[in-house]
Amino acid sequence: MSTATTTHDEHLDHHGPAPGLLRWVFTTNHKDIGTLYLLFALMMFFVGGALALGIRLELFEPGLQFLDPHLFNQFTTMHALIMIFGAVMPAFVGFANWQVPIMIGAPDMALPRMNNWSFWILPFAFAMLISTFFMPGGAPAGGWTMYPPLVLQGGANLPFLVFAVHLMGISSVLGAINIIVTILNMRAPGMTLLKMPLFVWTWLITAYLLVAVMPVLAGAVTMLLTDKFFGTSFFNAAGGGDPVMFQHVFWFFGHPEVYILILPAFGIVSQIIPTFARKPLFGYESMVYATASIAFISFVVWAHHMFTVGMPLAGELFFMYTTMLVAVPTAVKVFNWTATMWRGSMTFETPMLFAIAFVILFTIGGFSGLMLAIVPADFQYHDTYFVVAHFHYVLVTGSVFAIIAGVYYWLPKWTGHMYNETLGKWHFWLSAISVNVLFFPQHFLGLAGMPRRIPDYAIQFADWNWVSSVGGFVFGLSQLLFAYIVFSTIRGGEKATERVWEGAHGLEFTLPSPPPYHTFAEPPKITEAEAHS
Amino acid sequence: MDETTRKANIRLAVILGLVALGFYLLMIFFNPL
Repeated sequence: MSTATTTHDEHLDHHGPAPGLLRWVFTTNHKDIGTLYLLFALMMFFVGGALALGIRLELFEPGLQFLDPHLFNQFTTMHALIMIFGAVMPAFVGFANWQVPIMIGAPDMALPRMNNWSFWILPFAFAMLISTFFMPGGAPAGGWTMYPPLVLQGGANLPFLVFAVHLMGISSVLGAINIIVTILNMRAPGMTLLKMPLFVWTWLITAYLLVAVMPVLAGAVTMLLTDKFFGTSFFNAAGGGDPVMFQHVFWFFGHPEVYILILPAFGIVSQIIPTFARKPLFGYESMVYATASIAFISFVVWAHHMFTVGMPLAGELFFMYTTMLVAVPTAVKVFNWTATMWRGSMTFETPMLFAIAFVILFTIGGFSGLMLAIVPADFQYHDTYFVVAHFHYVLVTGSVFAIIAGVYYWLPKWTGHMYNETLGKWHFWLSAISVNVLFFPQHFLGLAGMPRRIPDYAIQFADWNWVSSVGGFVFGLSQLLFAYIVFSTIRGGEKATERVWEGAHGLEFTLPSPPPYHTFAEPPKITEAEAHS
Repeated sequence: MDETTRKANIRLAVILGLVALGFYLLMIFFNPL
């Protein structure tokens, strides 16, 4: 009889996930969709990683051994596209799906059905992109930047590449809209903007960047498509167009994209360091303003990627100075993380180890970025391995290390089990040492003049390439240990407590581990202890 | 989720979607770069 008086909403509060595989297809639950994004990203890390190992295998010694030059170019292009759009971005959206609602006290994302659609577009986009390997002429080979006219001279893959980029763009924009709406409209009463955890702040700003620049990329590739198939001449000089304009449009998207790939990483690290230093984050408000400043400046630095195209001197100076300006808010962040650790009661569990490695190694990438910002120096560094070393420090020891740190930090909350700390530390030390063996010598190779995107090289570059490849294989294989740790933690292990970490604060740590399928159906009360955390 | 929040969510999402569509069309038809 009591069921007759139960309202539909009350019924929903109690039911769990649907049984069977269809749960994952039709789910509108933010935790399920977060898990889907994270597993998809992990899979793409291994696909993109396999391509990277192919590249390092070929570069292990001079001469052509394993990959013909055209296939090598396909590997470099697809490695970048898969890692950026298939691994790092979906991993951060996975974090946002899991964490944003439970950090701000919302019952779910604002638009749950759109959330399902945002995710399920992705596997189709990447199936289409990866299928190009099996086409006549193979996969895209003109670099992830897709510069015309080279990209228009490839095989049959262009429409597949363009449509895949469109789908990834739609997925990202829908995901970003969902995150903005959730953060602005769904916060629990009392969770004012300046009480939000920093991870939520960094994602709010990232989401605005996504809405602004993913359509720019979509516009650029649409114009490539019409140039190739519909007789337009946007980028065709013979028809009155300008190939350099593509570079302007691409990098107007591309540089904010770099910050899309790093700002959520800043957010994750800003959650982890206070927990293991057992101190509140130093300079919370300055962190928020620094994040917003980085995002704003990211729109006026794009042409530092193209100093060598022959811009007027005034343009080169403008983009040099604006680029150097980015160092100011970034340094604010690095100083704040350091000040948070200063005289803290620090312990060094795996998430903290990865977070500290992030602060040190990301800063190395930041410094080499400053070197590249200097116009006359960039004329020498442009298109060398120095650039490859720079952006891998920022993206691997930056973004990827933060993703790994975040997984170790929140995995016990998500699964209800603690991971194996000994194996986690093994994973950290193997990764931290090998990643430097992999990428640090690439600075030397670049400064000595080794160009990027080549399958063969002069004998003088042999030694450091050998070292780099050894580092690459150790780093790549170490990530199998990461996958083992993640899946064994999902299957079982020591029970995690509600708080998980002694120094953890935040609404997510007021929930049981794992949290129930539906959380915060009633808005929580925001206490001072859980604010800013 | 109450009806007022649901409507506010949809309204904001539509505005953001139109902004994104606007940037896309701007880049192709009135490229400021």
